[in-house]
Amino acid sequence: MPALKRALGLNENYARELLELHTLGVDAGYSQDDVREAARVLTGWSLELKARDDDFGDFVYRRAAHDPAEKNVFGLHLPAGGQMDDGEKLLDYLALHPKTAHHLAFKLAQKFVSDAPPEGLVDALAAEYLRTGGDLRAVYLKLFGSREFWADAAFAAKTKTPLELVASSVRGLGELTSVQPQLVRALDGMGQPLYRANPPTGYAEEAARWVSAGALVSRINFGLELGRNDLPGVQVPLSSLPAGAPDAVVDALSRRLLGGRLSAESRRTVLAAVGAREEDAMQDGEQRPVDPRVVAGLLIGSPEFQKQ
Amino acid sequence: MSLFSRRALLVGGGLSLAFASRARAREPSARKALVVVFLRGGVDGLAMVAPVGDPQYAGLRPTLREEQAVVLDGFFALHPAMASLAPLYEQKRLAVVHAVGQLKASRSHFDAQDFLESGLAGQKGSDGWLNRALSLLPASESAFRGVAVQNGVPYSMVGAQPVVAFPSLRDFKVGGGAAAGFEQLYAAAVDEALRVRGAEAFTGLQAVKGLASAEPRNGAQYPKSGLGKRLQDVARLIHGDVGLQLAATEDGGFDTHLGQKQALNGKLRALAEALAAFAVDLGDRLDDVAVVTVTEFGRTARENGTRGTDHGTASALLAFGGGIVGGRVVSDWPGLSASALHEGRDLRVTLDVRTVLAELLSTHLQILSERSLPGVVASRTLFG
Repeated sequence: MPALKRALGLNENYARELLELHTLGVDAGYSQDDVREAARVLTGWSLELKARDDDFGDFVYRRAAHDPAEKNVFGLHLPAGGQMDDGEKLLDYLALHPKTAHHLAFKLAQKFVSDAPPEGLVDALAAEYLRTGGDLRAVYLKLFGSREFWADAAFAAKTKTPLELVASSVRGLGELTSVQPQLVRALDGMGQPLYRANPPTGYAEEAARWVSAGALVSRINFGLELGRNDLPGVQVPLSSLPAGAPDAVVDALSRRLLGGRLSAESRRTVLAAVGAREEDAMQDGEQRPVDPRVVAGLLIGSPEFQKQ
Repeated sequence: MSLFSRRALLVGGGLSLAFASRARAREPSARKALVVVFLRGGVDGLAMVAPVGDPQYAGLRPTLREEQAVVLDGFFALHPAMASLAPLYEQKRLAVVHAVGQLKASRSHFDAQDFLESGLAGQKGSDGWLNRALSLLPASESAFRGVAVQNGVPYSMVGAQPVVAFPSLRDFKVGGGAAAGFEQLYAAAVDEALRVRGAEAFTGLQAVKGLASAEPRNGAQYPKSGLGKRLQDVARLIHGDVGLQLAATEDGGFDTHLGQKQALNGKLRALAEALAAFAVDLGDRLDDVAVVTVTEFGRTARENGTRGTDHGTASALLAFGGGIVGGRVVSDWPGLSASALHEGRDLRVTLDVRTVLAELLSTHLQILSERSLPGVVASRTLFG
């Protein structure tokens, strides 16, 4: 029924996502014609919608909706007469395409090494992917065994996403007793609304998308609030924090939150910030011990704690 | 004059001389700002600006139509709760655009809001139209070039350009008296992005210090609503000369499926009073600042069984400030007869809202709107 098909038209959306997001990558060099051809390949791939169910329904192939004429997608020729196997052939072809290997290798290296991963590493991972016919376990082994992964330059190179910041600071400082709206809203202010990523690619991997002046202020205030035990659903009792001389408190909390990874300069700054407050208090003729909640807040808001 | 051709060539590349002369006439100015107010939930444009002259209107809205509406031009009338905007309309500053909406419409709030904020008509990308616009505006050291006065960065402002978001100016500060400590920590940060953004944050905190309590000017009286407070903060940033170029803010509660008359009476009154107060507060600065309201979709032409309206298609928008030629309702009115309605139920879109946004970018902000709203040709709606 070609007339009907023409009336329904072609939806290019999934074909574009398949090429751009799931396989080749946006810079692979495919054309608008390739997108259209891929959409034609996938005609007939559909869903049996379930009216009263939470899940979207089951995959169904609608033979009558498939365009059986020949197709050419980015170097793959599919002769006329194909059916559902057209789509399967396309997926197999795309899965093992060198551009897909590179796209995937880049994403893994960016996730685990740095926002701008070394090219040599990406190439090596892509080669391993192709050599093993797409065995992801082999690719991960290659990645985690690589010189680049263990290099000093890769240590704390990545910035925490807001979710990672919230999770790591709650884990490091307190105990989560229940998830309250305030905790979820804190993520909004830092730019990562929970479960509400807009683009089909999901949340960004690069720090540039997470670190803005406003988001930093939100991160800093979040740490201060958490330190003060002001976040509903999270318990940070004062008794659970170290007490004593300022440097002992700073060192103990630095070990607990940062694994001692506070630079000497930052340590001096934190001590000075706490010390200045003590002097303020002494001018009133009142002595105040160092407040470990403020130290905790400073450490969670510190640049060091923003890194993975 | 000798600068003109060189400047035009640099700015416009190989574009036509006609364009070059426009670029010379007004080039992007750091003082210009655009304020976008997103009315979430889908505003009933047929209630906000009622087509009282359309013969079908009364029949479609037997209980919802208002008797005391503010006559705008004989065909259209402003909702009576919005009378506070009448002076701005009479001063020919406020323009209404009607039967405006999205071409690739969706009746899902989330999709429709996302499509409008991506600026890509029926698609979602990795950044929003306002962030792309920001990349075309004159650069500056200011951390406040793009500001969202709301909780979190809206999708329209997501992207490569740094923007600041806060629910209110009062919240944009570092608590606990610890700001000085953080400033030093970030000044010494090894990570460049953290160091640079940190410096922006602390410069910004300094720049807006005291602004949160600045009084409105010219006797402006904001309503106590959330939007009133947020627009007041936008005005404070503009008066504070902090380098604001694009501001986004929002209001919600327009999803009036039932009891629309009561709900809109309150919502539209607060909206109108907030916009009117903003205009008064800005005074002469309104020549540099354009304001536009947008919404994800309009509502059904016929009222529903619960004295409300359901998700529809086209709506109306309000725009004022800058060089906008107001005192008129601009519309290619599609009519409300059964055959004129989109899918037999909704006001039809006769103007792509993006073409109006593009006009604001190109005419008000003097940037190439095509790079913010690809494939969109700016309309000639607001500026005559």
